[in-house]
Amino acid sequence: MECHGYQRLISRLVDGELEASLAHELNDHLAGCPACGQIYQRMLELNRGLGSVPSPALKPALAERVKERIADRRRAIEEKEGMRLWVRVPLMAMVAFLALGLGELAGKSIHEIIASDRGEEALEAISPDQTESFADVLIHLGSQENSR
Amino acid sequence: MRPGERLTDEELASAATEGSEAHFNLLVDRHAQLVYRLALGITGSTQDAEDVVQETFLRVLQNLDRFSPAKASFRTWLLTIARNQSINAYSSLKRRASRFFSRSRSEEQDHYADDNSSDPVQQDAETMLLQKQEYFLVEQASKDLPERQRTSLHLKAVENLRYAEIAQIMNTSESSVESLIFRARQTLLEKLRE
Repeated sequence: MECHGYQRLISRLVDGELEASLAHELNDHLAGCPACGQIYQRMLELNRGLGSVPSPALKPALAERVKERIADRRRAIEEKEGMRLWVRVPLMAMVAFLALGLGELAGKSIHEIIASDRGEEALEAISPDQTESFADVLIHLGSQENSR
Repeated sequence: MRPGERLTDEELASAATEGSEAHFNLLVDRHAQLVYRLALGITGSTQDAEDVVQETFLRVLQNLDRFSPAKASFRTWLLTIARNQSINAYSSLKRRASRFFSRSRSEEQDHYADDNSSDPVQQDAETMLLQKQEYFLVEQASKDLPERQRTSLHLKAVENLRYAEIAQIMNTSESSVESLIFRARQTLLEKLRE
């Protein structure tokens, strides 16, 4: 393995993720390679530096704001669910009243409209001959042809 | 001690899924700082990082029923969401512009001076100045790294997560994580040598 390969192992060693067998091989290399030894020291220093860079602490007020926003979101969802029910009930009532109102305007109640025999009257009006069906007419025409 | 404080993250998440706001708030208390550090590491802006913290926990709340402890720990799942939110914030052109103009170099250095002034350990002025410059150089050099390298190095060097967990958060393989961290270190060492 060349120095570049060992430097990858150094990075893993610094991270505490190098297998024991490879760590042993790396230590042997570090003992005889000052350049890789220097890289190892610098990577250790860099890691310490990164770990100790002060991160501005999260303001306690922010955690509280997050909780407040979450509570608001929950309330909004609950209100939305509640609103759906409150919208649905008056809407159904409006439809029912509208139907009743239209029925009264037409001079009949809803029951009269549903139960009326107006459909049958309409059928009678468009049907010219109620005595013979289409099949009766065809049979009649066929018998006339036969007698000829 | 508040009720539920001894519960694991996964147990708290389960209770929160059933609608317990108190248990969800415990998760916020436990992990808000962790999310903030990652968001700050990616976005480089305290304002963006604060927004990311809020958005992350709102997303967590909305998707709690999708969380499966069999697939990943709560922390891994949370950091995956936090990373995605941070990337969204970071790649926003508007925010990028505001980040560029909002914090000048001198302001950044003042920020480190403030941090050190609150340190109870007595240090002489020269050591403090050197340390301040060192912090500044490391942080500046980190900011220039590609997002994947910066995030994987942050999760390892600052949060001390295992490669396996970082790989899950970043939806990649352990060998890729190892490679990303190695390349990040190489770049930083070169920059700090300049």
